[in-house]
Amino acid sequence: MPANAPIDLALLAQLPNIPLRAKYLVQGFLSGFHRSPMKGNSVEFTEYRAYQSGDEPRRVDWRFYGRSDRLCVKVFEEETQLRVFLFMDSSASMKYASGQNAFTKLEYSKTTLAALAFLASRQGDSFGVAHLGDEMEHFLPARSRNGHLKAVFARLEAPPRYRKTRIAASLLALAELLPKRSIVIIASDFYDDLPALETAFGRLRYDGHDLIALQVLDPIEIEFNDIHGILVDVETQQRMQTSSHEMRESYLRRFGQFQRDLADAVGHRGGDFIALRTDRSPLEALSAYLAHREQKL
Amino acid sequence: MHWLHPQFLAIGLLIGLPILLHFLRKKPREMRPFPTLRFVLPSVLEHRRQHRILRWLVLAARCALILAFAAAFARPFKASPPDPFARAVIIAVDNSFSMQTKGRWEELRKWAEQTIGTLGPGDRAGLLLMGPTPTWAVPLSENMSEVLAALRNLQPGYESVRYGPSLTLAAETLAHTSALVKTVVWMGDEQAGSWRDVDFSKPLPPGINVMFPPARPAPARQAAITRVISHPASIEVQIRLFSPARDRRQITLTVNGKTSAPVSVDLDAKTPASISLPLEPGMADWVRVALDADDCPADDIAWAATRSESALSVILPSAPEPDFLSKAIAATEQKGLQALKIQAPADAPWPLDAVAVVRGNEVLRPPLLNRLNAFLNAGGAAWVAFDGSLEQLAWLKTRGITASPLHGKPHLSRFDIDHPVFSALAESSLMPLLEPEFSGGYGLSGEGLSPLAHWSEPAKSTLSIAETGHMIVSGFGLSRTASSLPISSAFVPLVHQILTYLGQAETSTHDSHLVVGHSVELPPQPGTWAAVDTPGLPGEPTEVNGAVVPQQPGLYRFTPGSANAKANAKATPQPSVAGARLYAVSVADEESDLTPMKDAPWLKLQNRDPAPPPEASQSAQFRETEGNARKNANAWWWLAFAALVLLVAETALSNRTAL
Repeated sequence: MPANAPIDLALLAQLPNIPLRAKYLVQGFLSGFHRSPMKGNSVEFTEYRAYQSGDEPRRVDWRFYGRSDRLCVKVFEEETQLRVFLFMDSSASMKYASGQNAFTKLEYSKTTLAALAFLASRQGDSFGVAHLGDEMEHFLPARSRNGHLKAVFARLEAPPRYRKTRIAASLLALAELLPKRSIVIIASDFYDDLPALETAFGRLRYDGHDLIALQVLDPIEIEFNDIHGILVDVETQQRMQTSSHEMRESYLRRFGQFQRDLADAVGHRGGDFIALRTDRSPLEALSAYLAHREQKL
Repeated sequence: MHWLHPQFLAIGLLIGLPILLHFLRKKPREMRPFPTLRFVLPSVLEHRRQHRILRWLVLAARCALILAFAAAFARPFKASPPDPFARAVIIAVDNSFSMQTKGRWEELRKWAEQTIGTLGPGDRAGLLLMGPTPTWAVPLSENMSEVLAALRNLQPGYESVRYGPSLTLAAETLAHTSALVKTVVWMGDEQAGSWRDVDFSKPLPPGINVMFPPARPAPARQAAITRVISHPASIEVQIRLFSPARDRRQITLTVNGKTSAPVSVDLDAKTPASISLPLEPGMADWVRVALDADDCPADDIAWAATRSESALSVILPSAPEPDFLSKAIAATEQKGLQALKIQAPADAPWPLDAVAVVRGNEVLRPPLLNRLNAFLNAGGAAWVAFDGSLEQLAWLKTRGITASPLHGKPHLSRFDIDHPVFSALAESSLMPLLEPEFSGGYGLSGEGLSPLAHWSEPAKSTLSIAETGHMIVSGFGLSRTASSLPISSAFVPLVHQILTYLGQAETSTHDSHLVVGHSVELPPQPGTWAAVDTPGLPGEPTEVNGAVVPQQPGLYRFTPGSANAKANAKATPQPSVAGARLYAVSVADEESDLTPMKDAPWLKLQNRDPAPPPEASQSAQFRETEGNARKNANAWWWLAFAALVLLVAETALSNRTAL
């Protein structure tokens, strides 16, 4: 199973920039396949590129090999014009990391979305990126040309600083900009009003998008262990004296209910809901992307 | 609700501790960012209210726990408050022998009866006997006829009384009642001696009235035999005249029950008289001396037991010549004192009425050592003359006594002159005892040692002679090389006093202070106590064991043994039974002075402060009726049980509120 492929998160966190992290993730992901999961049929040749491990041998241009003694595969402009939009929640709650964890939720989201962008680039899909926020200038439309990946990485690397983001409203605004029938991947903790989120998800479904909701969570949000003292809400700065000893049961009940409702909201609209822990590898997200892509094709 | 031990209620002050802890409890200060409080907030609000209630419950449980423990220890009891009643009167009766003075008892009794007669329904009265210690003849009661009957049946005794304890008891008892009028009727003759221990600067509790009888003049004719001293060939009688200033009185001597013709004596109130009456040596066992009756007849008669014919056995180990101790024991016979018979220590049970002398090491080696220890353990008496030998030292250590050698040449000093061994010697002079020089003395120490004499140096607190149980230990040997004591004039009297004291062989005389109402120490074995000659009815012989408290003066005989001896004691008036001893018991001479106290200082005892309201005194009254508390004894068990339940509840609750 690719999601179980060995990914050293500590090493991943030490890599200095997003492109390297993305490549490390994708290579680790692909190393689990005997056959390349990448698929793409195109009629319009665009360029040669060097054969890579995982490429189907039938896509090797043997004539070119005969001429140049180099293994290359042809890259075509796909007929399907598959588009992937990567939306990243960069609100204050995403900048949280509990004590021992290497990644903040935001860093984890960046790395995951960069890997997805890298994977989409490898697939020849066009991909765009956007930050979930009130302003539209952080939206980068989907492209598949060379150099676009670098722009996407740059956009992911330096997200705007939002303290509090209304995710649902932002999704509705972005929905106006998206071409029909795209794959929309959202990395967020989805701490927003659930009915409003349902409305936004409904709108995306209405437009024919495939929705992949990556709920990025810190382990402590899931387990709620060893929490004492005064908790400060990183978005609202609200303070609350509590302790996990007293609150854990009710917290887990409420949090679990929220997750179930969120998963239902996504699932009822044909989407995939994937809860990612920042202390585990995000390969499940890459698998989900490929699965959706296959369905689209 | 009332408390048997209210002092334990102070434990309740500890509730301040949980209250303090409640408000000073550790509150979290650590600020911890968290992505969202949306899932915490409702729970916190829900728990905060619940926890606030829980924390108050824990505080309440802790406080209730402490209060329940305090209340349980204080032993609560419920008693219905007494109904306030109008008057409470306590008749305090001076039943000393001075009340036998002609007409005094009857007059005062009528006066007291008149007071009781003024009481009506609902009032209460009690009868308190003053002597020898305050005793309730009738506790406070509404039954006036019982009080009157008890008062009419009373007769003055032969004891002496002190007014202080009776006055305090009567006043305190009244103070703790809810009566509106509280009166002590003082049925006493106001002798100065009886008021001796009363502090007139301390008034009685407020609200207590004391009714004193009308002042009575001193009796017209009063003299008392204050001392009878037995000598080998005579009886010395000391008489004190109180009134009139000069008087001629008749003395009658009765020897062994045979009365001789009276002798006239002239008495002077300024000087106590001492009259010597001849006796035929060796023929008298006891004598009775009587004055012709005056206004107070109880002190006009006295007894003396002359020296006993039976010799006191002294178990004396042999010693190298010159044996000063054996010579001193033999000399007591020549001086007409109690006969002492020397007996060598034998490997057979030693008689308990003998006195053993431990000197040298002969008796400290088996088998005599076993006999000595058995003798002492059975109550036998011994004189240990410690000469510094290691065997003696080791043996004394087994009895908790240690001895350390002294340097220099100390003398004996600081004698306990109230001790019978030295009191008789002190009458003449203790100088001969101070003179002997000791070249090898030993300081005694050990728990339970009562000092009889000390060494003059190196420290004046070092014991030279001490008593423990039935044993007297002297920190010096009795040889001539140890000291010059054996050749001093004090040696024979000292030896005699120690041995007769230990053997309790000296028949008691009037000057040995055996007084009515006080304990008379008897030989350790059980026996029979029977009156030989008393002013009133002699009464039945009684079984005694070690001590007896005579109720009237007279001559008494102690016969060792039990039931059979009782029959013998009744049948034979003479001390012919082996081991029988005679005891002369007298009245206390302090009671003979009938002079009333001047200036009536007892009037100062009346407290002019207003009486406290009845409610304030109720708790003390309940304390008096402790029976009520016993009826409610279950209450504290319930409180203890409640405390236990609270402890469990507190543990459960505090675990749920712990952060």
